[in-house]
Amino acid sequence: MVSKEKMVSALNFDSGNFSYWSERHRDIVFGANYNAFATKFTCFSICYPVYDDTKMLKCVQHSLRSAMCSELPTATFLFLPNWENKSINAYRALVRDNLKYCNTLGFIPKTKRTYAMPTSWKGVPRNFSNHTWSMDTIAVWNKEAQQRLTDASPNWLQTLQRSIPEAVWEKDQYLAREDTDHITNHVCPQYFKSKREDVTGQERGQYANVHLQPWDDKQFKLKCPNWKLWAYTDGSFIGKAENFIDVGVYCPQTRAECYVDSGGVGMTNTITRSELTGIAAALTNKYTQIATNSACSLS
Amino acid sequence: MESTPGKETRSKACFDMQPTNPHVDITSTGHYEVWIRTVDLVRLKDDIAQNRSPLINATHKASLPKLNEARAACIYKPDGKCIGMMTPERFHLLRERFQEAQKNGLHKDVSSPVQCLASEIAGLLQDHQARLKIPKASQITLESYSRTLPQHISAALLGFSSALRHGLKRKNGIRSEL
Repeated sequence: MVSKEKMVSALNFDSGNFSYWSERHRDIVFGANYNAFATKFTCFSICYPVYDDTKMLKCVQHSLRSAMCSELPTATFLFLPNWENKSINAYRALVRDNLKYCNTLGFIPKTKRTYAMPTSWKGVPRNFSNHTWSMDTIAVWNKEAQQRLTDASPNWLQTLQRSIPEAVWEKDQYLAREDTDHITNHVCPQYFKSKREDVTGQERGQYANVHLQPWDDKQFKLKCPNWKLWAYTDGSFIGKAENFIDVGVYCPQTRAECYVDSGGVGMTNTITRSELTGIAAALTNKYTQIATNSACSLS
Repeated sequence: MESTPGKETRSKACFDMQPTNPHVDITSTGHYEVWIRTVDLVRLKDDIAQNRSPLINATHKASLPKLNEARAACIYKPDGKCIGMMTPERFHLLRERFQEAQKNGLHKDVSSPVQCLASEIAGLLQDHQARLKIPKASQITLESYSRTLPQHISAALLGFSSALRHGLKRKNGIRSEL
């Protein structure tokens, strides 16, 4: 949604951006630029890297060097997790030591942190594990960018506060910038200065408003039509306890459940026996379409 | 040894030994395909996932999952196997960007020739799924590949970007790429 989006992929870039940078080279076919670190960041970018400490540190470092070296207004808004263990937040030290260019604008507390639904999945959309961290919003920018932002939108911070109400904004830190103008100990290496600017990247070009051909919504034939009418069997072998049921048969359409004890004893009490008992139970219950996860039972 | 009733049953039965996802897999077409359709997503209830009983018996029955209907773009390999799904919105966005890139000549910059949109999306999904199995990476790192910023956060920054672009054009008329 800002001009440029760094460190994303074709599966999660924002539809409103002008250009995006992906780590996967082949994403070029979807209009991506490859490798955000190959060029200097310029203008306004958003960066939400994966939670890999090395990559996050590199992102802050690259944003900082870009802001230092560029003559263009350059600002990168980064969204980074703040781990409970402060000692491993390497990027925070970099921010703290370079207040001339880096500001923590605020953070979203862990209790209010949410994520967008995944755009793709295999099987079912996955549930994320509970997060135990808050998320920092960090601006890495040069004076030109700040001036440009203030000129264009004098109340930008208040706008941000209204738009992201769940965040806690550190207004004082931003306002204290004049006192921190001298705080920077980072030196931009020579090789970085010679990097190309990212304005030469593949931005949305002359065909940005290309007329999309209507989608030909072909109909295909399901391999298992009426899959809900099938019986699904599964056996298990995790020990033998009293009243232990080791086979299940289930039909999604009727929600009929059938639990079976395969009756194995000693060396005849095997997983294959359980699986076969499940299939036999399905046949006994007049199911004619049966799915099993046991290739051994079919061979 | 084959029993007599078993022999009769086997003669009538059809066996498909290929692993099948029954609710999405299609018959083979010989091509990569995309099918936007209503699918049944099986969702384990949270309490089931967290409090699953190790022992299932007459009194402790298995907790059954819920089925939720959703529209999804299913991506298929030539043999009809579904290799993943995505939201129809993401699919159409990728389709739009794919066509733009094609018209801008970007497809000439890739090493192996671009066959079709469906095959490229299939490759994208397979690479993503492979990335989620990187050994030695922590669970938090792997999950972060799928975590996306909520829309309202991106939208909040859109306002700045637009204001800056308009401000620039009005005041200076330079660096139109902003």
